[in-house]
Amino acid sequence: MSITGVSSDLIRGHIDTIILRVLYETDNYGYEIIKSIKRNSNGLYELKEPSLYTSLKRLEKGKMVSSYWGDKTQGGRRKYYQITPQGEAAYLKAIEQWHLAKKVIDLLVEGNEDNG
Amino acid sequence: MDELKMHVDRLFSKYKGSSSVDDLKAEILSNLEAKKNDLLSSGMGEEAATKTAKGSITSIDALIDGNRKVRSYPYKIEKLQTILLILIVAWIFSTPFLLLQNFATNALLFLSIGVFGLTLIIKSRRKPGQDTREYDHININSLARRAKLAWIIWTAFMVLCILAITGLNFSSNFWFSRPLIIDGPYQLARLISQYIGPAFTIVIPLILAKLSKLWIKHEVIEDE
Repeated sequence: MSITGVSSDLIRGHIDTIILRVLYETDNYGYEIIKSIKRNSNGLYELKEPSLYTSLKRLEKGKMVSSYWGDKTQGGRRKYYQITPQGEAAYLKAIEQWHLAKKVIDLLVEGNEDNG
Repeated sequence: MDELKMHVDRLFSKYKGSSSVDDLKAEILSNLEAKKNDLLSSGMGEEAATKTAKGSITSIDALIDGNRKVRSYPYKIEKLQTILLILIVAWIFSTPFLLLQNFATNALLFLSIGVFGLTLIIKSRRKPGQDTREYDHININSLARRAKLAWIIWTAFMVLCILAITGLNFSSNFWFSRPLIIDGPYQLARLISQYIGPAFTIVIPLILAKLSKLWIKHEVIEDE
């Protein structure tokens, strides 16, 4: 991974939330989710396909998202994902947790005070 | 488009049948096609776009339900060790019956110990990863199914054996009024030992049941 990209170690635990955010805005299918994530990160982060499928599978198992097959397009049928109410709640909770974690980690690694 | 379909077919060549697998396959293919079209429209050439799309997913083993990633070499070795251990214990249990001239069971077990022992020696001499991949994906659902099936078949087999052996021994009494003569502990033991031979087939379901749980110790947790 290039130096300009985000460390995949740091982002790994947040992939589910990142995908939930995309689906919080609108239903979407696999490749378009990857594109949206790249767009949301201003091109600094690109989710890999295997991680996408692993995460979507986990989210669906946990009933955070549901899926349905879209109409046939020129390419073939697309599988769309939709966030469930449970997924929305989990997403909002994850944001809260992230804010707290960001504050604490900033204090721990830098000792900044402007995060008070 | 065809090259992408072939790529996805190849990825899924080990997995056939279930509707959830077919769904995943169709989903991955449609996403790869979307990716390729997107790359084409951004100015990339046909060949490069296909190659990039294909390169974005090169294994789907981790996405199959019940699949577990294990380190190939230690898993294989322990599999053989487990089989060997059960066979040796069974062989030891079968030796007293040699006194009752029940040689076949003992010999058969001895032979299989030889075969699996030799395989283990050959396998363990090779350095890890020399001739095999470092990781394997095994499906714990099908392993559990296989063990369960083995128990069912074994139970049915034993019921049949007990009926057949009992029939052979006692039918002369029913049909010809010639009672089976048991005139001492040795005769009784020989009669019982007829049932013992088939009973030793229990090693097969025992081994499969043991093997179906071996992955727990060898599972490699995926990073991504």
